[in-house]
Amino acid sequence: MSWGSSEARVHVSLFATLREIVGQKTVDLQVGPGSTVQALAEELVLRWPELGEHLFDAEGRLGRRVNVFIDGRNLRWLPDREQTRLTSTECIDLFPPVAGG
Amino acid sequence: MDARTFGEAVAHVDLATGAVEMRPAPRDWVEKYIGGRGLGVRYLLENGPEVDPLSPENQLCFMNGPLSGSEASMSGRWACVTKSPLTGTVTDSHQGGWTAARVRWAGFDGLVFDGRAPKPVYAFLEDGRLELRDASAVWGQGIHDTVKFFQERYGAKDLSVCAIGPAGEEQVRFAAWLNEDDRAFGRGGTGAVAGSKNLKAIVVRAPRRTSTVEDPEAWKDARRKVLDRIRDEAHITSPKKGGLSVYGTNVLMNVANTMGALPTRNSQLTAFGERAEKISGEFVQESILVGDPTCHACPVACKKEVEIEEGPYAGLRMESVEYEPAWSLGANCDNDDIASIAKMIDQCNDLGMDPIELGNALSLYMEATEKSWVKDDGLEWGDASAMVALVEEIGRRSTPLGNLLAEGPARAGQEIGHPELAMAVKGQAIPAYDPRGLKGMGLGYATSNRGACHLRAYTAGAETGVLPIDADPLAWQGKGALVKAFQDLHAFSDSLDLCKFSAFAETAEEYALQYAIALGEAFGPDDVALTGERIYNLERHYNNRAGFREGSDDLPARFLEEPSTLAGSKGEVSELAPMLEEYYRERGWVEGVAPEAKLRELGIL
Repeated sequence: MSWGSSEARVHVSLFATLREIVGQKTVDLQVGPGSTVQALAEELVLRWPELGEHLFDAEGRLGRRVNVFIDGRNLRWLPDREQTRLTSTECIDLFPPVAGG
Repeated sequence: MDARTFGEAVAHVDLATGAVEMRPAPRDWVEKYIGGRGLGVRYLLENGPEVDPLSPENQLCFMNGPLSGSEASMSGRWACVTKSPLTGTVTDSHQGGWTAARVRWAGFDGLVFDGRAPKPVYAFLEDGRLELRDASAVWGQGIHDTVKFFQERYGAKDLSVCAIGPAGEEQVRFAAWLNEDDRAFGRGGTGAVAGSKNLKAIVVRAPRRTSTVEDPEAWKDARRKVLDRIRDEAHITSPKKGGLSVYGTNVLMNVANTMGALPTRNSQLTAFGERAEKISGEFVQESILVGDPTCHACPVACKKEVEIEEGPYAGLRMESVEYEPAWSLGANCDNDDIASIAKMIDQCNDLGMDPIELGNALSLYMEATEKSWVKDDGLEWGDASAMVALVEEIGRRSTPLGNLLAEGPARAGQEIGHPELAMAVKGQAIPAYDPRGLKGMGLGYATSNRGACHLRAYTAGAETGVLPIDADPLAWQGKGALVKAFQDLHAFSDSLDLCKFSAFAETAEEYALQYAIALGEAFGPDDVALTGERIYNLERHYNNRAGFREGSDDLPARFLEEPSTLAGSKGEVSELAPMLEEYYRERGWVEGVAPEAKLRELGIL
């Protein structure tokens, strides 16, 4: 996947079982300024195919099985959801559905 | 063991005289309030809401539910219900382990203790008999030694020991009961009530028994359906796959931190930054985890046993580094040393104290120290060794400072002249969710009938995006209905009595299905909601009569007036007033008071 000429670095943190799949706590990826969260997730799955079933639903969209936070805000509450565009200043946190108490 | 006759085997124990009498619970109480929490509160209401919690007139109820100890998944629970010496409200607390099941297998649906024993005693239960026996040999002992003592006396096979420690004996206002060494009736000071009654322990010996039901095949099918849901990999309860099973409850640490919903430094901040990782479930799992113990009939195994290999606490092996104490003694106190946190949790398990209340008492004194409002050397943020030393002083009330903080943060804040430093509601301290980052949890704290509590409503399951319910954590609109729905659902499951984590896999439909088959009668999801609402109103009625009226449902001013400064919740405060208005409308309450018409509608009066 090409991110274009003006690439920026996005810092992605992974937690719980997603971290175990990737084998590391964080991943830095080069993204174009206009890239979306959906594209970022697709790039992650290209590198770690096992993530696919955790990130995407049957239609290939970011599903309810994952919680994606952009600077602490779950993208499901952002107006463009998975089509939210990324900038290099953002922290992306990926969690499987986790809860406790 | 038969749900159809549940409630017929309730032991009433007069501690003053030693008399024990088996009396069935009134049938209409069982029909209306089920068991566990609901039935226990009904006993407490009958005893009168005006009693002094630490007087012989207070009642201490241990109530199983109709499914406790059965083959139903997550049914190893029972309730301890009393008037709280911490809050003055009715309180109930639940514990896992095996004591609940063994008490049921020994032939008891519930135990009701009245009065005060002239000298320390314990209750010994076996084969339908309850005897009070001399506890002077273990009075003053920690819970770990108390468990060992009884295991040596009676043998460990089929034995459970549920005991208080020195904190209960000293009537620390947040003293707890522990069973199996580590599973607590944690909140509300039920251990202090036991201490005031000279009741040290409940010791039960009983082999496993199976349930008797009218339709065994239907019972088997229902349990299989529930087990399939628990095992479903899409749910967090899935054994060895789901977050709760692999990492324990502390899997919450990082997500709460990310959302700006992790109260830090006595709630001055809403996140612990990169240091949250060092006290998280992920860190525990990769560094110190050695075992995954479980409770009766539970495939999840959320308990996490750890061993410390280095440093001042080397050799410590304990369970369990849960999310709540990892937060209360960690981020809340600016402490990122997981070994010291494990040590303090184990101290709480041995002394018999609620680590949530303890952590809030420590953080209150740390903030007072920061602001130069203390008269001694104070307690610095994150000073783990000083915290460990002070925990012992609090649990034994052995120093003036220990004695002050043993009263809990609300009373300690009043005593030092700064009640605003106490992060408490109705006298009970907050747990590990910041109301500025999770608006529903804040409303849940304010309207909880036992003081600040995460388990009454637990909207976090929806607000963190786990449950398939749309609930923006930063929106206040709609939270009144959401909180009411969860409060009612959990009031019901607490009365069955099933583990709260069942709600991650089960709905009212599964609760109703299991209860209906066990009863051999029709019981549907609508009955679950109605019964839960009735129980919640019963508790509110008790509290209203105990003096909690308009204005009692509140939050510490910090959450209303000091906006979050960190990502996830930046700029947010709790919009409590409009949420309360919406909530009271949903409840049919008038300024926090359940009116007579509502009580009659629900069959309470």
